[in-house]
Amino acid sequence: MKGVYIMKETDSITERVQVVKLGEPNYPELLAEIRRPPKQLFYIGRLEMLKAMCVAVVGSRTTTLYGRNVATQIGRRLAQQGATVVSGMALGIDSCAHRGALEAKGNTAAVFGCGVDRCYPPENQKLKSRLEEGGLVLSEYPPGTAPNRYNFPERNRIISGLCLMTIVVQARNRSGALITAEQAADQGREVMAVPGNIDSQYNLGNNKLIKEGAMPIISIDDILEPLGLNRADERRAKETLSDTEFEIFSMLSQRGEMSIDEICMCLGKKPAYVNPILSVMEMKGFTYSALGKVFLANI
Amino acid sequence: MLTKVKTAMLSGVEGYPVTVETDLHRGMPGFHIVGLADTTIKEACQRIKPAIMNCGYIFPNEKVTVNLVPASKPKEGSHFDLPIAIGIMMLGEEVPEMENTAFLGEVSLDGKLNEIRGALPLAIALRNSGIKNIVLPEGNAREVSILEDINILPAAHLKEVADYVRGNIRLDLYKRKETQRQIKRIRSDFAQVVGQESVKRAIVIGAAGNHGMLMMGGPGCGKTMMAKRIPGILPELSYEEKMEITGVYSVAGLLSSENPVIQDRPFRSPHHTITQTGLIGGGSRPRPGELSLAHRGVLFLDELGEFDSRVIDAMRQPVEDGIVRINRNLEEVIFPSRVMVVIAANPCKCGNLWDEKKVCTCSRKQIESHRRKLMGPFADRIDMHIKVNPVAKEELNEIRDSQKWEGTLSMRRKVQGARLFQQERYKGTGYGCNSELDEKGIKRFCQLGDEGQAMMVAAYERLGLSMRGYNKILKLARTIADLDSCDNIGSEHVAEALLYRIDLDY
Repeated sequence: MKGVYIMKETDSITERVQVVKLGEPNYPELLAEIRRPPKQLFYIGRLEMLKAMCVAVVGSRTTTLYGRNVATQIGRRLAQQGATVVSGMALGIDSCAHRGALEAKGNTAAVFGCGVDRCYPPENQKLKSRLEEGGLVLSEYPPGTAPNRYNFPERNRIISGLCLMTIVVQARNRSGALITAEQAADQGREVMAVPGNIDSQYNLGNNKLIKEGAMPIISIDDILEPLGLNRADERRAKETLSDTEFEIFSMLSQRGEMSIDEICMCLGKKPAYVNPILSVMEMKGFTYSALGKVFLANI
Repeated sequence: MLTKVKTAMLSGVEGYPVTVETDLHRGMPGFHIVGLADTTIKEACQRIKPAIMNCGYIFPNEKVTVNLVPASKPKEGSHFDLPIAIGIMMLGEEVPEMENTAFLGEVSLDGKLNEIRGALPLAIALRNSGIKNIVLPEGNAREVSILEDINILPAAHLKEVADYVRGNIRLDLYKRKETQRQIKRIRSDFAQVVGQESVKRAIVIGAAGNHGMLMMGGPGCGKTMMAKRIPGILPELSYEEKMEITGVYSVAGLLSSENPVIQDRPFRSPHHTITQTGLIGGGSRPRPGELSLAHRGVLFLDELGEFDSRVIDAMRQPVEDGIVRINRNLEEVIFPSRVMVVIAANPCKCGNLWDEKKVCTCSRKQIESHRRKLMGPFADRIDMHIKVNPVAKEELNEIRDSQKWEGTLSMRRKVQGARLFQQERYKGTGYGCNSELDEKGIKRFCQLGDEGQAMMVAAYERLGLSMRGYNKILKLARTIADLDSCDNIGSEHVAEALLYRIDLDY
């Protein structure tokens, strides 16, 4: 099974499936650094999204509403920032993270424990086709491989290996998500965990991770800081915004939100001058205004 | 025996000339008034008879019939007393021709003349019908003196008027006082408002184009304070505008001897418990409501969320059309209502919805019903939606430095400039200012350049503007360009106008 799979031209199932081998320029850099990198990856979709910042969002299949909400929001927020959300397309947390990213029209990749032509779990058929269309599904196993249970812990090392950071949203005591976290730590990657109620067994795993030293996420924005994602947006801002617009942008990045009056005071300009600029920035998608205040569109 | 005396009647704020015909003939002694006269006029019989006798004249002991021509129009008001009394006293006497003289006035039992309601619009109608002299109670002389091309003959007593009609005495012509307009000190100045420069900018735009404004913000952030200062930055009233406003106040009976002519733009701020009739106008004998009393001025609705939603909805048509139409069984009455609507509203019933530090105690249902009033069809017709934030703490540090904040004088200068610019453009088109533009006017006067057009298209898609919202932005952009004295609307004008769109998210 670990041998290099040779694609047959007559193989109709594998028509859409592409392959990238270790050592090829397209092979994900971070994954090549881990201890036992897969020799080849089969994939459907856009492989280039792995070149962007990747973050793994994982968790249990059985979850609470809280866990699903947080997973969706984290997925969405990361995708808005241009990061690629990597997960395993399992039910529960994994699916929510993928969906959040897809809603934000962002990048997301699912790593399978079976062949990429198969769908496991079968309930996620719809999600899988959305991922193939707008995201990426990949696997180290050749097409046709069945979802054997011993494949999944192996698969988890790829999830963590692709990413700089692994976020465990909600995990029960012996969840596979904890294996992913462990492997991430072994690979020298960041691990973060979402804290949960201590009287709920659904949160046992993620809370335990925090006890062991994983960084807790106490607000959605905590996920962005260690990744330095603001800076990515700042680069884009510098390219597309005029000088005054960029000045406003930087003020907003420092202070979070400002009223128009505060912006005028800081710039030493009249509202008649500032007002049109704010409108233009909103149209460019950098800010949005609500309740008479101006916010950064992507925090 | 028959006499004819000229006077006038009121319908809404419009006057119409009326002739009082009095006839005396044999029959059972009696006194009848015909010509759709209402109770105040019918009661005149009881006032006029003693008044005439108390002046030392004899009331004819025969059948007296008074007809008010045109007989088909309903009439009301006590100002018919004087013309009727004169008509009776002149019966059977040789009197000089009175074609060019009209009479207005209410008569007391002792013959004294009392002030009347609506003297100015009545006098205007008489002047327009060719009357040269007008006899009226002394108390109304100053109000009517705003009319320049008519002789005003004030009188104090019925006897005086009778002697004048016979040619025995001359009534003194009312001497118009030079309306010395002292330069008013601005008592409430915008400079007293700390910070809020962006709201002041919005107010300048609103005042420049006479756009309606909805200011939303938590309690205590200065909405009411700023609204009260808006009349101060509006341009001075023109002669015609003063006549219009004084006419309305005259009809409403709100003129006083200290204030016989309205010189300043009205600022009306009705309480939120007001009824529909009180706000729009109406009643069995239609009277102008707050909306008309604010004509050419500011109608300030504080706490819009507390008003009855039916009252709010009733304002839609009048505010859009600039007139109130009230239909009664026999007539349609029209009052003017070209107002600048200024609305202040809290974001929710308790006002703390947007505050991060305070807790909003409203239920979801309360918030929803409040929101519906603020985002309803009336508010949708308000051109500018402005969010008011509490004053920033940096600004509070400079609270003592009142020179720093923009004041009424500089704001008024900007507004006046923009208004002049509009008047030039709209000469002969029937439009007064930008807020009055209709679809045709927008098409003609609010043309955008390529850049501005691109921005509007983007905004239409991205910000989810409605078609009405789209037109409102165009009108606002026109005003902002006028403030810059620009003939063409630039993209920066459109951009600023977009800030004042309706925020559906709220």
